[in-house]
Parts: sequence; structure tokens; C-alpha cells
Amino acid sequence: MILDLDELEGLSKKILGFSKSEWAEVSVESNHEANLRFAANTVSTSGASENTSATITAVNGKRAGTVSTNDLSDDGLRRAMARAEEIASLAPENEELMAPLTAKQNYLRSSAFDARSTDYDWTAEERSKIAQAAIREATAHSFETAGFLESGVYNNAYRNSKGLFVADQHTRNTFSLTMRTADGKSSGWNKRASHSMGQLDSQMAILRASEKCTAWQDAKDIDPGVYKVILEPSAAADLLQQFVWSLDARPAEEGRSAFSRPNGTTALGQTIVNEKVHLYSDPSHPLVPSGIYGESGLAVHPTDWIKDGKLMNLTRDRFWANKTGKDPMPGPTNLIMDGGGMLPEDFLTTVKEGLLVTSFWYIRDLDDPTLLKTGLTRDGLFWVEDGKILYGITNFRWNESPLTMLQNVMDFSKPVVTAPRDGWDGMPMCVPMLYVSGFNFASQSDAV
Amino acid sequence: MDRRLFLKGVLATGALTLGDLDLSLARRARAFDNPLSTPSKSEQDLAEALIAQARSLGATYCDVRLVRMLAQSVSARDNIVTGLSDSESYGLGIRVIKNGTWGFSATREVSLDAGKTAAQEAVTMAESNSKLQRVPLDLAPVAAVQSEWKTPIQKNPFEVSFKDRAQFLLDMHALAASVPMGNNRLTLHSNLRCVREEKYFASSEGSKIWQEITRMDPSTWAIVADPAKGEFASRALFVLPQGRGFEYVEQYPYKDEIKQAAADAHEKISAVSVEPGKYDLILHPTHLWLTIHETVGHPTELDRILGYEANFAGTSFLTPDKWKDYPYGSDYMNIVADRTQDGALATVGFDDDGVAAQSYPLIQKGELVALQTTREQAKANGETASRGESYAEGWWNIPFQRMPNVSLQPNPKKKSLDDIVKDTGKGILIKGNSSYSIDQQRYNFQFSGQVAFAVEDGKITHMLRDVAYYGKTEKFWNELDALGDQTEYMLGGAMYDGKGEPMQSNPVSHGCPVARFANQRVINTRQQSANSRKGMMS
Repeated sequence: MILDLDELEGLSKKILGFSKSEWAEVSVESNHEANLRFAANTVSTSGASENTSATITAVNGKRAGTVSTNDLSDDGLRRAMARAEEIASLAPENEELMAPLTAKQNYLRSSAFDARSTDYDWTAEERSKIAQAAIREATAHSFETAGFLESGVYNNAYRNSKGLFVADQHTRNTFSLTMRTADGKSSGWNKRASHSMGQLDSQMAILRASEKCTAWQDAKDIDPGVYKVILEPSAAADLLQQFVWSLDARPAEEGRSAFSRPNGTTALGQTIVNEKVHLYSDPSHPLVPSGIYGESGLAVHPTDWIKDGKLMNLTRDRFWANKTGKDPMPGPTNLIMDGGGMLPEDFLTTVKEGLLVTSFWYIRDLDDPTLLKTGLTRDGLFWVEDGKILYGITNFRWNESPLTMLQNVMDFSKPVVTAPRDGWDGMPMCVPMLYVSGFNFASQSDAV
Repeated sequence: MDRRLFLKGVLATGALTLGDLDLSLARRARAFDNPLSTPSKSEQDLAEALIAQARSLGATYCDVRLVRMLAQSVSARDNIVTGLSDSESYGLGIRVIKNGTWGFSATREVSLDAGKTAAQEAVTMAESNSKLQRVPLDLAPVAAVQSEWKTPIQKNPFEVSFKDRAQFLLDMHALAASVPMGNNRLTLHSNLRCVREEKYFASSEGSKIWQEITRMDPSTWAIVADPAKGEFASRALFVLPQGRGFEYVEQYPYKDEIKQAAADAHEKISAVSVEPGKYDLILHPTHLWLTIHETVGHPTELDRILGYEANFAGTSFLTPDKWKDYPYGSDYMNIVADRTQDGALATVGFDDDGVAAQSYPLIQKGELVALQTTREQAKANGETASRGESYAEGWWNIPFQRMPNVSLQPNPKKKSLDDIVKDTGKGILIKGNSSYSIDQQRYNFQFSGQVAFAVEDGKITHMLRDVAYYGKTEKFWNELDALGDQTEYMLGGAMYDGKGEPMQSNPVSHGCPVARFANQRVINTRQQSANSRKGMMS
């Protein structure tokens, strides 16, 4: 059994009751996850797990020690606190250690918790039905399908011994699937994610993956080079995540970031991408609700990262904020990019020409000062002309920076709820399909 | 379980020759006539009760893993210790087969009541999912064993005081800080992490196995920024995780290398930017291990070849009917899969199917001769026994096929790095790992290193920056034309090799000597970043 928010409140209070140090803080998490996995048109490994754990930090002066445990017995928790205090006594002084947060936080309300998605029997039945539907679709087309369905319930709370307490809960459901031809020469993919199992729109995902697999057959070779691209929302989401992970004030102000500028200055306030771009986060966003607190219980508020093409904010931990005389800025818990008025499928019909990218794979850093990344296209790359998909194109490796990609954005669809393929599933995202004037494909990949 | 039966169990895998057997037994598990000393009797009884419970619910197979995951970490930035932490996670995972289908459930509550609930959940899941099962599971046989195994370590890292570990990092950082930097600014990040898995495996087939697996994971980064130019460069130490105790950290040449890393990062900012083109690449073992991981380790996983990772990690350029004797590389290419190698991260006594650890050739003189399998997969590969490659990240995960230590064997003939450099006209020597990426079928790869040096007319002449190379797996390995000997052999590895859904991490090592690959395609990364750029708007 996982613990609800009231139980986490009681547990966190009990844990800090064992503290003998100057101050202490604890984060408690209680989760249940269940999944169904299928491949080769049959079920494969599936499972369920539940866990509740506490991470305790004890502090004396500038010395801190941290202990995590999932032994929730009184003895276990007492031992964990004593161990944290013992480790703190061995720690060298950390001049960057901040005092506990005492200021009242104005926490937003988030609708990231969907009660129906916590009905384990119902979600298990839904997972089974969706997998059956995917296998049925694959069989009807003589395809082979592989996919993954997961539902999770996540309850968490933070408390410090100076009186700050916050609790939050969310649910997360994901469904992704791949359709492949029996000869392995074509493949299609789609993914959905939502806090609500009922909003996954799994049937559309199955249809899209199947359509891609059909359309990508007999892909043509074209030379690597710089092409216009149309990034499906999932592909755009991957590059946008790569961008926001790099928005850290300290390395930027210490000269170790793509947002550093000569002589200790940064790109803050400068126009760094196309003026059409508005990228922000908001935990209370109705379509992609997300976590309401960050480091040390700090409230997460709506934040512009890019507005009118200008870099508006960098994340800033509490120490660095104090040192630089700025407000701390927790990282985003979701990501939204504004767009146009047309749904992606309608927007595509307006595109003059370009390569339509279904998804990206194996994205890694390549040159940090320019935020250059490398990766590959996967499961559906198409040549589009006058709004129509004309034929499939053999996959490419690309070497490109999300900064350059955002500079080259020409137009976009209406933003839609999506999920990155290569990136982190835990960040709800609502982003448009992007039409980009130039994207650097470096070499061909034979992979299907 | 007596020793004779234990031996029979090992031989029943069919994967070992008698010659191999003596060696592997010397390194590996021993059989016990007496009950296991760990875990406690009550934990062993609990596992038996849950197996009985699953069987009473109709499971035809069941295994229970009681796992305690311990980790300690010390991290530092510059002259500050930024964190000391100690974590413990204990729980049980119960895996069943009913109607020829897997079911799995895990809980942190290690009790009879919670375990029975988990058993029920696993059986219900298997029953429900069996409606989607095309072919019932058919596990390759394995003899029951009762055994214990521990990573052979000299100094338990969990017994080294936090104070000493913190001081070690501060001392190392102080050494690096003494390297002249001019007006540039040096930043150092380090972490000393150690982990231990304490794992009890009991199966409905009678196996009872206790293992204690220790791993050491040190890392250090030196980053140098030139504030006037707004440029920066980094250099990670070549120290990589291993299946050893704290002696690994103490024996590693940290003092010399951390100073070299700081100096390299400083030099890298103003190093010559590489001219793109074709070069003979001399890949140092601190770099080559990851290339082996991506281009040999993953493509030879049978679950990928069968399509079981098609939705995530990917498949393989190898196919079920066309893998045997596949011409993978040149005659220099001899690759061994080995879960018995000393100091390696995937080394265990038994896998999470209860199959004894093995060592077997994957590639001999360039030809593929075996694939990685589990009990579930062996028969699909026309074999009678598993290769022993089942592993779960923790108590909360279902085990599945994971990579063993996969290593390139050294040249039996004497050949040093110096010999190879002297024999190279236009080349680049690459050390350490930086960028790494490969497609989902393992054809197209692109890698870069921490440092690169120009090799001109048999001599290392100067440092290069912005170097990355790309290629296709089969072509690349067929261009392996020089190989170092045993004196050049090193063990690299990674703690967090991701695969599966939900994704699980697998620690794995790869050993290799220095090797040269002729006529490889090198790109200039900084030039790549300019290809589609209109010009930064700042």
C-alpha cells in the first residue's frame, strides 16, 4: 500500500521528531507503478511495484549529512536520522550550505492528480485492452508491434524543522508503440502521455504508428546536408528539453555555458532565438499540470524562459541566488511552447517543403559552448511537398543545436500535449509541430 | 546440494569447456553443504512461503528476490564538499509464470502479508496477460544450486570513513588547483560513489543463492573557462567504475591524472581545431571500451535481435537467421563475453535466473559465434542452455536480458602504443569518452573523446580540439588493422547502461588494448554547429 498525503504529512512530522540536530529536512515519496510490455505481437515482461522512501538531511552549523531509507519502522527512521547526524558530524564545513527556507511559500494548485487513474484494476484492464488493440492492428496489416504502457501514482511531501511543509501528488500514464513490417524495412512510432489514463487517446496513437509504418516503406536515399524540417511535437519536445536543461545561471555566469558571454556577462535579456518563440512553464497549466515545488520546498511559479525570442530567465539555486543578489529560480516541472492556430495534421498541409521528422533518438552533447547535440531520426522520416507526404527518406544522423533550431523556426502549429522519445518522461510537455528553415543532417543511417 | 550436483549444474549449461570450468570455478561460486549463512533464516523461510503461495495459485514457476541496495556518495566542487549521503532500499520482487506468461510484483514491505499480496498480483497479471501471449514461455533448464558469491574486494568502501573520503577529494582538487591557468578559471567536480547489492534468490526449482556485489564509481571533471573569450573546455579523468573495493581508488594514479586533466582542459581551449577528413584512428582503451559497448555489446543481445526492444532500445543489424558466422571484423577481432572477469562491473556468481556466470567467445577472428541469452531466450536461439545474462537493476524490477562484460582480447604478439604510433603516417590518437551516439540497429555511430592528438609521420605532435568520428559498425571493425598487446589492456565500463521499459540500468565493463582503425571519417564539431546557423544573435 502506498501512503496518501495525510499519511505522508504524519510520517514527515514523525521523522523530524527524531532530530537532535540544529535543523533537519525530509522528503518523503510514496509511489505505485504498473506496466504492460508487448513485442513481436505478444506480451513480454510486465510488472508492478510500490515503494515509500524518506530522504533525511541533518544539519549542524555548515555541516550536513543525508540518508535515504525505505525502512519506515520507528527504529528504522530513528536509525536513519541518527546516521544523518553522524554523517553531518564527519562532514567538512560547506560554505554554500543554505539555512532552511522559512518564508511562507505561495504554492499553486495543480490538477496533475487524476483519481480515476489510481484505480489499479481499471488501469490494468485498460492497459490490456490497448495492447490487444495494438496487436490487432498489427496483425491486420501483417506488421509486428512492440509497445509499453505504464501507469503511476506519485505522492510526495517536503518538511523542514523550521515549519515549512508542502505535499503534492500526481498521476502519470504513458503509452508508446512501434509498428514494423515483417521484413523489417519499415517502421512507425507514436507516443502519448497524460496525467489521466482516460485522456491517452490510445486508438489514435495506434493508428498513427500504423500509418507511418505503411507510408515509410520503400524509403529513398538522399544526401546528408542542411534541409528544412517539420518536427513533429515529440521530436520538438526532445530538443526543447535539451535546451531547458542547460538554463543554469551559475555556469553561465562563471563562463561555462552556451549562455555565457565574454567578461562574465550572460545572454540574459538578449534575443537569442527567433522572435516568434515563447517558451515557458506553469505547474497549473490545465493540459500539462505538474509539480508545484522544487529545491528545499521552494514554490514553482509560472516562468517565461524565452519570450519574443529573448532569454528571460535562468534557473538559480538558493546559494547562487543569495550570492548574486537575485531570487532563487527552481527548474521547470513542465514545458509549454506557444504556437499557431492549426492542429499539427492541418498545419502539415500548409507546409511548402521539407523533411517531416517523427522522432529523435540517442541525443547526446557534442559541443557544449554552442549547445551542439547529435542524434538520429527514427521510425518515420518523410519528404513533404505542398502539404503532402510524398515518400519516405532513409534515416539520418544529425548534428545540431537546439539554439540554432529555435533561431531557424519559421512557423508552428497549435501546441499539443506530447512526450519526448529520448528525453525525460517525467516532464509534461505541450508544444507545437515546428517548421524550421535549416537543420543539419550529417550522415546517413541504415537503421529502420 | 552437494558439490557433485553443483558441478553438474554448471556443466548442464553446456556453455563451458572442461578447461574453462576449472578456471571459472576457481574464480567463482563455491557450493555449500550447509545452509546459507545469509540472509536470515526468517528471510529464507519467507521466500519459500511465497514460492509455495504462488504455486498454490497455479504458478508453474516462481522466483523470489530479496534485495538490499546500498549506496554511499561523497561529492565535491572545487574546495567544498557539497554532499555526503548514505542510502538503503530493501524490498522483494516475486516473478511467476502462469499460463506460459510472466507476472511480476514488487514491494518494499518484506513481510508474509505483503509478499502474499504481491504473489497474488503477479499471478493475476500473468493470467490476464496470457490472453495476449502467442507462444508460451519455455525456459531452458538449469540445475538447482545452493551457493554464495561475493565480489572479491580488498577494502570495503563502506568502511572507509566519510571524513577520509571527503578529504581525499579535497586533496585531489587542491593538487589540480595548483596547475597554472593564467587568467583562465578552473572548476572541478568529483564524486566517489560506492554501491552494494545484497541479493537472495530462491526459485521454485530449488535454487537458493546469496550474492553480495560491490562496485566503486569514482568520477572527476575539470572545466576551464576563458572569461575574456567566453570559451570553455572540459576534461574528465579516465577513471571509470569497476567491480572493486576502495583499493581501486587508492591504486588509481589520481594525483598525476587530475593535474594532467586540468592542464589538458586549459590547453584544449586554444588547441588546433581539427581539419575534417580521413585519418587512421588510434583509439586508446580509455576510449575504445565504449565503442565496443555500443557496436558489439548491444547488437549481440538476442532480445534485440528478436524484436523485444523494438519500441525503445532498438533492434540489431543482426537477424535471427543470419547471425551465425557473420563477418563482423578483421582477424584481430576476438571478443569474449565474460561474467567472471575480475574487477568487472557485470561480474557475478549467478544471474537473476539462477544460472552460473560464464565466459564464452562472442567473436573469433572476426566471425560472430554466439549471442547473449537468458533462460527464456536460449531455445529461440537453438540452444539448450542459457548463457546466463539475466539481470534486474533492483528488487523493484523484473529481470531481463542484460549485457555481460564484453571485451576485445589483446594481441598475442608484442605490440605497444608506441609501436602503433611509429607505424602511423596521418592519424589521430583519442583518449577518454565524450560524445557517443548510435542508431537503433547499431549501424551508424558517432563518438568523440576527452582529448585528441595529431599523429604525423610516426609521432604525436600536438593536441587537437573539435574531433569526432563517425562510421558504420561492420566497416569499422573490418578496418581494425593494429592491436596492442596485454600490456596495453585496460578495463573501462559504465554503471548505468539503459535498456528496457521501464528503463533499467545495468553496470557493465569492457576491456581492450589500444587499437588502430584505418582511414576513418573525422568531422570538426565546431564547424558542424555552424552549418545551419544564421549567426548567433548576441
